Amino acid sequence: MKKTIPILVAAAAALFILAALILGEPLAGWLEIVLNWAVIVASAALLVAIATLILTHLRNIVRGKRGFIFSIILISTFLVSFIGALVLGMDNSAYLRWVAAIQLPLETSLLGLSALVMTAAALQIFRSRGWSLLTLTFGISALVFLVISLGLLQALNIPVLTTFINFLQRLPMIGARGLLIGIGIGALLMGLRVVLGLERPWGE
Amino acid sequence: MILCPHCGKENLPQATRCVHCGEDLEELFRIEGMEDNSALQEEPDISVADLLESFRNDSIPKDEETGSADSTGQAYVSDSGAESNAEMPAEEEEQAPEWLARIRKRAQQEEDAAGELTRKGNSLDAARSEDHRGRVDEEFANWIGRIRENARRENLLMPKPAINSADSDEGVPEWLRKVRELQPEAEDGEQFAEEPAEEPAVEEVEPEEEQGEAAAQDQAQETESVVEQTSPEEILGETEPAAEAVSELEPEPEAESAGEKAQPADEEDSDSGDAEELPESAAAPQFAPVLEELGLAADGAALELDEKPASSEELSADLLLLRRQKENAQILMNLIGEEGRGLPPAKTQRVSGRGLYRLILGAFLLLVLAAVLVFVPEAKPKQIENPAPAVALKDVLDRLASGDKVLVVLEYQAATSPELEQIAAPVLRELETRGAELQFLTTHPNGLWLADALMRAAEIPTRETAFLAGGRLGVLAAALNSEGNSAVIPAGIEELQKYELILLLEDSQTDIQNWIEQAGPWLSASKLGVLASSQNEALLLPYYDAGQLAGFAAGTLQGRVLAQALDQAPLTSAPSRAFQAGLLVMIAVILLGILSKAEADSSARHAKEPEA
Repeated sequence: MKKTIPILVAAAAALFILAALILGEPLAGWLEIVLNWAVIVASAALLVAIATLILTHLRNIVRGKRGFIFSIILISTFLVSFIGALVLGMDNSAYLRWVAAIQLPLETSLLGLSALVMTAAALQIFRSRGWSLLTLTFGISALVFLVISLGLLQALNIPVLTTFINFLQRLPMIGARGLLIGIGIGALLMGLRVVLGLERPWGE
Repeated sequence: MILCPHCGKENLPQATRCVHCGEDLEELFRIEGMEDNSALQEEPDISVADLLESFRNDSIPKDEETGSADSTGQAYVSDSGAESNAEMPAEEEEQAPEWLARIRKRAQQEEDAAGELTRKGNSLDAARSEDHRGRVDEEFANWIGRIRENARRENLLMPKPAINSADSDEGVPEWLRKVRELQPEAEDGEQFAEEPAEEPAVEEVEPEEEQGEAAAQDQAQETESVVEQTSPEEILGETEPAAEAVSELEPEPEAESAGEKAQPADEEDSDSGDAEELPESAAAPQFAPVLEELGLAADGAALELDEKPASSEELSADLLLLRRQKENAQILMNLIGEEGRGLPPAKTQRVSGRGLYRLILGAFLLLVLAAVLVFVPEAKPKQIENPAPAVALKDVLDRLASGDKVLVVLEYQAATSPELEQIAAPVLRELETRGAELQFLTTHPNGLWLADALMRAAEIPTRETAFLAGGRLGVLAAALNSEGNSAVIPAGIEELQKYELILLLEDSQTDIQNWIEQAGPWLSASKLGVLASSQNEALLLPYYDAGQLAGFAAGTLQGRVLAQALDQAPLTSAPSRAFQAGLLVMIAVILLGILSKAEADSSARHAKEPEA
């Protein structure tokens, strides 16, 4: 019973959403109600997740576990943001600028760091993998598309070159479409497994 | 059934104890044909030595009587067994038990019953004399001594834990000092070769081995009557007690020495002809204690004896070395020989100042890059082929009239905000110019403060940004809401169907798919327009080709094209130059990786050429 009920609920919800998408308007009202329930349940789950996170880090601080300094930072920043939004309001411009001033450099530096890591990997791939079809293809394609992305060749205004560049720029679309097809098939199979009860993403 | 001698009652034949009175039934073990064993019981002091002596005395008269014996020993077996028994002393006849007499009689009558051992012994006894006995004893003692010496040598060569070699006061390592001390004596290799064969070395064997030797000698004395001019190997095969005692020591060297005799003469000459190696091998035992202290002794598991063939047995027994031991000794000898000589010149000498040259080159490249970014004006294509999706989006924007509602959905992170602002700002400015009614919505908390920056960049009046909770579910619920009474839809936001255009500002493929695939079926395809970062172009194009999008512009280049098409000035801020700088750096790094790999391969080829 403990395992059967979640499977039945998941299968029923999936079948209902599928039917609503196929049938359209006749089930639109019911679908909206079900979605509202789902939003409320998801929000409650989010609150539970936040509470668990805070309790876990509080426990780490009390027990003095290794890395508890980071737990202190997490809880303090959470409290500052939470209390700030409660006191000042979510639409307060000062509050928004304050949060943006913290988050913008953090996310930007993280993205720049990922670019550096990829660049370092590109530097090492030839030493670690040697000369092979894979490495040569990677190196050539990376160089070609980086140069194209610079926009300098397009600035030359050579019609033949521009046509060739446009042709090259459509090549990644082929791979992207293949990826999308694969993702779609995978999602379809996963949905079928959930509906049939073969997959239990909520755990045992 | 048997009767109990105690109570007289019947018991089963196999019973060992009387079931009635519990008395032991010893009669069970009575052997047929051995009615009286009282002789043995009465004479418990008869030892094995006495029995063997009785055998020996029994065979001597026969030798004297027959005079000579052939190798097969058939002459020893004669039909006059009864006569020989008659000639036996009466005392021995009385002392010998009856079963022994039977065995003797049967052995004389039946050749097969005597067995191989008895035949050989008899034949040897026939040829034995007092002089021969003395030679056998001497050879056997020498043989045992060599075996014990080899065992002692093996014990010395066994690996032991390495001892840290402490340097002396002069800075000379301990191991080198010991080797130097031993070096002058290495010339007298033959002396060292003969020393271990001497008798005092035998006395250094441990007490357990002495006990084993004593036992072996006792057994050898008992069996010496059957030994004459035979190799110890034969003795091992014929006398099991002695063989067991000796095998505890080390039988292998003897076997090797026996095999050594069988080696062809030319092979011995070729091996022994290495006169240069002979002193080294002779000196190697000197290094054994040193190597043992240094922990350089070979593994005990690899007890492959590297025996130097020699002309005499004494020399071959002393030249037993472990192969690795010999190699280590050779390495030490080479080190000593190389001591004081200059180091060989290096094949490739490091060019001084090469690191400085590279540093200067790298710094120059960075300076050029920075100068280009700062001083050289940005290259702009005069005429760019307008991408079809961007043109389609421009057409949608051109159809908007004053008062039309446009919902701007912000779903991007702070890291990509400069790129998205550069694309979206001209479009928002155009919409504001046209008098469209703009409303801002976000599904990410980040959008609340990013929208403010976007409005400032677009130079349009600041508007309130609504937050749509629920993520994907919220988007689907908003798309489904046709009456505007859903609790999910935030205040100020109408039904999505009422908007003429829903302009998505996206940097996430997941969010794009959510809007197009989940909310799209409930909305008109002409209502969705996307302004996205450049990496999403490949994702958006199939949706556009499928008619699920009104149009899109991805990346700063297409954003610039769209801005020019809308007669709006694109943003020329630092992010565009930083983007180009990042691309240049990545190009340079990839080229550097290729060049460094090519240089490494070239160096490897040059390094191999001299060897070839």
